[in-house]
Amino acid sequence: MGIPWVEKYRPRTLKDIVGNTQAIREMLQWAEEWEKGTPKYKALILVGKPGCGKTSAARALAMDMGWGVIELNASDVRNEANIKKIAMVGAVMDTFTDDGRFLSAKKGGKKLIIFDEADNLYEGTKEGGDRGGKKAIVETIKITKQPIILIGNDYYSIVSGTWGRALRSLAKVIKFRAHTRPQIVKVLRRICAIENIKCDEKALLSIAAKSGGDLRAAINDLQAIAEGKKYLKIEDVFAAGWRDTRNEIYKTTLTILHTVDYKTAKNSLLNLDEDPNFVMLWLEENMPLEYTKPEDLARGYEYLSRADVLLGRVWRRQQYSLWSYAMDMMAAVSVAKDEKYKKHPKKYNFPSWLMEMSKSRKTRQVRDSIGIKVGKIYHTSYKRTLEDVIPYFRVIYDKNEHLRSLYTYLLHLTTEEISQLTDEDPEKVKKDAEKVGKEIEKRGEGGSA
Amino acid sequence: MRAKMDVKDLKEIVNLLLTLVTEAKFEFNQDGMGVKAVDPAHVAMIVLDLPKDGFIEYEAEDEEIGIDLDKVKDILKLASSRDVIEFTKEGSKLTFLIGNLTRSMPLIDTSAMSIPRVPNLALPAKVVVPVSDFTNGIKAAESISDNVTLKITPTEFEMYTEGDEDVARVCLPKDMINEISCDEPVKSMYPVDYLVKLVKAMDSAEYLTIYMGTDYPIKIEFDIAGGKGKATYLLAPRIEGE
Repeated sequence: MGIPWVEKYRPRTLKDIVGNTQAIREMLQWAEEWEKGTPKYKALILVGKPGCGKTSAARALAMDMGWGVIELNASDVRNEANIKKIAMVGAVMDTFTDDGRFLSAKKGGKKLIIFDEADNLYEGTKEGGDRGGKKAIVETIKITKQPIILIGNDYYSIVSGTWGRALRSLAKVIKFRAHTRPQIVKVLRRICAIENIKCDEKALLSIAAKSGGDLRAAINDLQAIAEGKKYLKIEDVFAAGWRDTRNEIYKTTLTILHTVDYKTAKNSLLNLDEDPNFVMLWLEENMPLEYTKPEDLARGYEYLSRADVLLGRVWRRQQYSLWSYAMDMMAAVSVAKDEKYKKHPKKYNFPSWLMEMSKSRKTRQVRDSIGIKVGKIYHTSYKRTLEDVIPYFRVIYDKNEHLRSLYTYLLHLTTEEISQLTDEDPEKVKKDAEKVGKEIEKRGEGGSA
Repeated sequence: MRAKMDVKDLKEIVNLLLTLVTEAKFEFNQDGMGVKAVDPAHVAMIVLDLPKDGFIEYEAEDEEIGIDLDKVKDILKLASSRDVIEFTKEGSKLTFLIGNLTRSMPLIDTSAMSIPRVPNLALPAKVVVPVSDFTNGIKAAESISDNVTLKITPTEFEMYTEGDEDVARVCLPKDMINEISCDEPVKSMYPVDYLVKLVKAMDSAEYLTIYMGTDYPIKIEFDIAGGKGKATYLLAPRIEGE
């Protein structure tokens, strides 16, 4: 692969930037204020989703204004010392450019200081991180005689924290919107024309649709698929191995449940790039919608249960070669029926088990943490505890007021954990437990005295 | 490419470059070696040239080599200043030989490194001063402020710094200066830490040739490698006023 097309076709002037006209107008106004003197806001914050043209716009602005550029992005260490060394010095000094010019700020020769990925300052880490980075940026903006632009996806993480709040009053925010599909197609078409690639409009649309408004992603995809080709067809896009996966798993489920041909079913499974466990859940969820005869359903679930056993072994023994047998069993669901059904359900559903699991995650976490706490005093794993101990523990906890308080105190149970074990008011239980706790502590002191 | 030179000379070149950058692209050709570098803040620039005669042995075609300067500095720590160092480029590796020690390191990909072009500046005033006097002025300024103001008039060269309360001034009248050419007084303010690092890294120079304008860059020319090579250092002024 040659030069990345994203770089090759990066707009060199603001005129070449697609979309975001309002944002770009505001940037130009700001730049013109700089030409006249010092503007009210010495810095801009450009925010927007990835690939919507923020960095390109900043660089193109500098290019159009004849300004120099220094750029600090996430690959540089952006701690306090480094920002002071580079940005802060750059902010109050005149500039040499790479192409051999000296820029005097007084005569309009500015240099644009760009903090790209400003929402990715790793302030937390002590060494090697970006400690003090935001503070140094704020200080740089305060003293700067050169224009500064901060760029990021997430406005709130830029303006979070003490120094982030300071940024809010020092910098003007300009929002960038994601590109529309026609805008992306337009850019892709232009690239194809320059690269001498004839292209199928559908192929470009499909790339644009997948990008979700991220022009950089779209151009990268286009290069991956089309570079070196003379003609780009929609088949190339699909052959490249990516598709809308949600749609694909839907199609595979549909194929398996509709067909009575084993090979068709197997092929559709093999072409699908998904976790077999996930496919199995889709089949499990939707089989009863299609298979209305109980015998078919029974046979179908028999095959699925075998697939499940095999997948379990894959997991436990890390024997991925067993996957193919599980796939065979899943494909066999297609021949579990005597004949094709004439009536099909209106639509298939996303596995409800997965939805329930994600809904019940919190409850399960609380349950597990009870298991861990109780397990500690029983010297048992939390799973064992949940199976063998908790059912009895719960009864005792619920009925015996004294033991309830005692255990609540000893295990430091939270209100959520308490309400899983008993219907009593958890706040009251906690208060009782505190009383018991105090008594115990008192007695402990008394005993030792 | 294969070259042999005094450790002392290479040390000086590496130290000078390290004042601005941590990696640099060296250009070799039949006539000798050259390096240009700009610091990340785009405030200072250095240009070093060491002709073929500055080496003990030298053979090279047109080549560009990206070098990690910190690594070279570490290698040079293994040698004493009187030693001779030989380096050879083989494929994508650079091998150093000092006495019976060999040390090789990978080269840096130079495709992303641009060689800066040196701006053509019209600098009206010029002085030639001893390094020691210049160093004094810089060191006096260092403890007072981040900046130092340099001034050339038809009769003297002056370096002064004002802190909140402290003032330091080094004044060299015409008769203490080797050469002065100036029609009208010029004056600019420069970041002092750049100049401190520069004078610390210098080893061979006895005199500095300084070119200046008003609110304009300073250009300092001096000898490297015991007078066998030349260096040019450019530093942008502080933006004043408003």
